[in-house]
Amino acid sequence: MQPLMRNVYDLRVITAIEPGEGSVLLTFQGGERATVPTDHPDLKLILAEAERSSEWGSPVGLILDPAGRVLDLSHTHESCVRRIEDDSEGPNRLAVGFWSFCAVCYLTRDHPDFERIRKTLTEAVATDKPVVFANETWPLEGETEIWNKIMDVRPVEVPGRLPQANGAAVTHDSTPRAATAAERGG
Amino acid sequence: MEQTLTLEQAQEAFRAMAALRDEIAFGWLREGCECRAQLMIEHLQEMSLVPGRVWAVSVGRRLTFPHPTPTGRSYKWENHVAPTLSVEGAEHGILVIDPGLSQAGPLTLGDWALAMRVKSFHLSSAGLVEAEILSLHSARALRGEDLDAVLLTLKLGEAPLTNRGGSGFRIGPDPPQGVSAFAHREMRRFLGLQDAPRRERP
Repeated sequence: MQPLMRNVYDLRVITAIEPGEGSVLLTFQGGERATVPTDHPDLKLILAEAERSSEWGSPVGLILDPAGRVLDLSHTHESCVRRIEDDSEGPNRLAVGFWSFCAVCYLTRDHPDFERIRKTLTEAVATDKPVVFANETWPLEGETEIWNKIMDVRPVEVPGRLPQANGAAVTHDSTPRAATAAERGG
Repeated sequence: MEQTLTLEQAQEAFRAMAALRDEIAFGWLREGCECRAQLMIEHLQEMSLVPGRVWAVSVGRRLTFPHPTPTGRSYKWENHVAPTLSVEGAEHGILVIDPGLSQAGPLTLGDWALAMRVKSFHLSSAGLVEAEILSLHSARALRGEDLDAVLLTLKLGEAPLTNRGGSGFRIGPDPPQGVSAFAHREMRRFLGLQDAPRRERP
């Protein structure tokens, strides 16, 4: 498989966390690995979330650079989708309302997987089936608003291989449904 | 169990909740109102009080809450929830305990709504189905009136949107591991985020 030349956005379950040289190694279900540099400014938060994923089998949201380094790793939520619509205050994003998540979230049009995520959300509104989603760890601060930027969204019950924007595919041995935070917390 | 407090008792309860800043992330407002509400409800019950919940569900416009610091920025919410107490002489008979929205004390329903810039609302003392909310919105629109949000004042155990199920903890089914366990676990995460230094992504 050709290495990806862009950042990867995904939801994955972490199965192991090990110290490495200058980094922490994360292993995902299916055996893929990523590294978190020990000088990552959010290392403490990332490891706390990774440990929750490993302990409870819940997926985390991920942004990986082409070298497999973690740029962001965040909590996932499960919810039905109330609405997805153009944002009256910003043409560069869609406003997304989830029933079980109080804040409005936004899908930006420059997201590399914009079409896939928009389609997933639109179908979820139509079918009223839940999705698993993650926002980036830190909300963005605009001129008038502090807002949640959507990292990734996946249907709860889509098994197997999830297509990526470049046509490659990532194998998911366990769908997010297998263990969302909402189901396995404690 | 019916219980009606005096205003002084409600203020005392509010102060007790507002003092829980080390346990409840009142400063992390991008998510988690249902967990803050749940933890406050548990504390209020430990004080032998009988809280309820009030839900605000946005309809014609989203709930908008200004950031507590004077940045001019706001949060936008689809919905919001907080505990309530029955209070003698209060507007609609209840006050809202929501230190994330107001440090000044318990709020009337109208002031709570206004804190989220909700100027027109429908008040229901029972859960509704989504179709009823749509009908309310349509009826108002036909009269040339706005409907910013629906406020639902509920007893514990009642769902705000009955067609979505759940015990009222959130809109939708309860977390399978239980509301309390879920809320406490989530709150640990919120406190970590609230207290962590902000940074730009590398």
